[in-house]
Amino acid sequence: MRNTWAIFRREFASYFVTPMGYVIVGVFATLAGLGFTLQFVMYSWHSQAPSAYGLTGVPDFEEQMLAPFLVYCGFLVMFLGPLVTMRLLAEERNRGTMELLMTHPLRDREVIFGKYLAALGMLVMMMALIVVHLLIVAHFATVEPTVLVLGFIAAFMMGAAFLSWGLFVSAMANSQVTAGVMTFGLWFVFYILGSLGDNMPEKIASPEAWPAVVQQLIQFGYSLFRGVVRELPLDAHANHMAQGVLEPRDIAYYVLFTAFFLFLTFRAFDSRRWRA
Amino acid sequence: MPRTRSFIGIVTLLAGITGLNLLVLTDDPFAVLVLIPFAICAISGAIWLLLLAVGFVRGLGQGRSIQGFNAVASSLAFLGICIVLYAFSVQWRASWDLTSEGRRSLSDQTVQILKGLDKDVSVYCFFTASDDPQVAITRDKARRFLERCQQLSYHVKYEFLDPQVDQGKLDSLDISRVPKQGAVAVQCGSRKRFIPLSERTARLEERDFVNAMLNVVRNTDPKVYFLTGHGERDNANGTDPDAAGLFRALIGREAYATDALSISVADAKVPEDAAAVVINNPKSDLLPREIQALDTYVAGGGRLLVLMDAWWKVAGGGESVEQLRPWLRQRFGIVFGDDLICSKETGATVELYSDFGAANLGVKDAAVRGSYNDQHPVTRGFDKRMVFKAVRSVTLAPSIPKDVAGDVLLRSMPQYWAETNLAMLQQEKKAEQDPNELKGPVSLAVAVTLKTASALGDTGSTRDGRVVAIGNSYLSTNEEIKQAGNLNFLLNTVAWLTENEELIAIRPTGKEDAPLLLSIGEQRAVAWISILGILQTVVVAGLIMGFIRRRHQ
Repeated sequence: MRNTWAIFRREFASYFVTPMGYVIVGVFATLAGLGFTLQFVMYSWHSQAPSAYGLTGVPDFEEQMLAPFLVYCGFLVMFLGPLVTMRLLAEERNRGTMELLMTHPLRDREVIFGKYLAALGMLVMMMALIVVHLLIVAHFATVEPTVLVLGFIAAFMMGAAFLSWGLFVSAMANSQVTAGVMTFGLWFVFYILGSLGDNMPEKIASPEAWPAVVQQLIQFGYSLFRGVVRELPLDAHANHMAQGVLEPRDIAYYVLFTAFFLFLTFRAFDSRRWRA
Repeated sequence: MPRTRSFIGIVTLLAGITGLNLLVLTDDPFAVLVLIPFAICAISGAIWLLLLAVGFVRGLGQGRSIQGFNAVASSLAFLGICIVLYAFSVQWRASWDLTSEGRRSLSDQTVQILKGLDKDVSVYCFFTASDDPQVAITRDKARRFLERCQQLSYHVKYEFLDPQVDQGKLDSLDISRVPKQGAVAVQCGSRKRFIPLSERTARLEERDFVNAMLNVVRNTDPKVYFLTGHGERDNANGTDPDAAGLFRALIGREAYATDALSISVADAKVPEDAAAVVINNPKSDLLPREIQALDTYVAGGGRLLVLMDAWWKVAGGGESVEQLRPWLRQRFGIVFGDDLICSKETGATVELYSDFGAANLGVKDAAVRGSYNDQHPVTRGFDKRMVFKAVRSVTLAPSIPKDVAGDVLLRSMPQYWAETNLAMLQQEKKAEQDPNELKGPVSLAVAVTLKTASALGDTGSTRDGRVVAIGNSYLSTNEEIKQAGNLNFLLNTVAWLTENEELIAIRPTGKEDAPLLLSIGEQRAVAWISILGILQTVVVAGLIMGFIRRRHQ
């Protein structure tokens, strides 16, 4: 545990030795602030004069403002997350310190958890900025504290899951840039797939001339594919949590997603030994 | 071997890419042109995997092969465990609503109704593939709501369709138009109900859905009777512009049986199977025994819809004293005015909107937004425009009987008034607002509920009597009912009149939020704190840390 903590401290501090950490947090703060201000003020205008904006009533605050803002913050983490994770393991390889790290009397789990906790530390710093926005919301609007807390947790879990993904890609890639680009690129593919999944019809029309068994198999395969595609995107499970509804599958998704990619990171890290 | 495997791998990749390109170009996954490259991809991929396995078996003596196999196998096994655990979490159909009102949960009544369902109910949700976030939110809500319903009853089967693509399904359900916000159709056997969504509702309301479901699963059609014998609008004639045959036919399409009602002299009573009785602009007054029959009917939990045009005067029902209007006033507190709603701009044509816009100023009545009562089931979420030609005022008397509760359903815009000098209006075609005349917004339709002693089966509760009174019957004519607003209003009215009691307790799920009022100063403060304040804090923190580090170096 001591070694994990030592690695965490070293990694976390390294973010702020150079301007990089400040730049990431600063950019996140600016974008989140801009998004929040726009949504909050626009909601205020919409609620005061709904008819002027084509609405027939005051929109639901949690549905129209709070939940979208928190999911937006989760998206920002995904945009900036590659910058946080790309250097974690790929930089060790770049600088030639990977062999030193692997020959040092450190367990794999101490290295990986230490680095992951450092990335989570950056995430916590970004989330702390969101708390300011939520305090503004609590001051001006009537929102239940449980809904605020659950939404905050949803955004945090989105970010944590994404960072585990980024850590795995960093473990696989040979350079920071490759790691960053691959992390972002793969996330974007999943996001596009999720959007497509929402628009995919429930059933697929296979040729009627084909045997019934084949048609059923095709329908089954399509339903499976559609189900997977719709469940994959990281934001797919955050919306309802952000509105105050807690379902086991939403929590399970993020926890299992994180666990799986951390496991893959272990395997990738370990593979360096026997591939060398 | 490695060369062969590489070659086959390249073939697999190229075949897959070709297939994908052709799939996008043809947009038909089952076209021969698409299936061939995918088949080649599948076959060559299988060969590649086979060669990989052969190579692995040959290299079993080397540590790398075993390590590599272990890594892949353990990763796949872990993935499998994660998938199984996730599947368990999905099957564990639990949901905790942490909102204070539990407004994201199903009501107890709905849960009971769903658990008691013994017939398959098909739900078709029509949403366009739109980028509009409002539509996406509504679609997502409907999906989650139906998932929860399906968790309670496997008889609920739902499907999401695009109205622009699945025109055939729309035709089979006799749906001619789907609103931009989306729509839901509920079907059980041959019975179906259509629930259009609006920007105001922005969700599939639990109450509307359960009502529709109850309507389609019941075995008998509730019967709506049309009173005859007093010169009412002809409910059998569907072609004459002034007749009301289309109104009766459209009610029939909504899974109601319809029939004409003539209250006989010998046995003056309303049939027991009457779910509602419609009195559509009688030109002569009702007889006392007919009034008595209707009174007994409503007092026993009956439902009445009365439409009367302006300028209707008693033509004599064989008695010297007017019967119908005094009865409505005395028994239910409903007052049909001897007036005509006018405005300087549009004369006797009254337009109703869901929002008065700038004319809202000075109009105090939060419950009734614009022309429609947003709290009453008939007009809740109503956003269609309605036009009345020659409508009279229908108001609630200052003191209504204790066992009666009333609501205004429709009201005019503020610039209209109730002109009582009809002689001058008819002769000189002009009207002037007098101080003693009702000022706008003037009530044009009301709904009252009468508490009765009529027990509702074994439920322990009683069925209330209901009356809806409208100061215009033109909206029910063959000519005017084609307007969407008029039709929807009338169908909503009939639906409410024939509604089941168990739905009363199901509250609407939409939380009414108060407007968020931000002054200019507060907006600036929010903008400064959110954008510049936090950013500058981060920058200052960075500068301080840099300064401290430089001092220690």
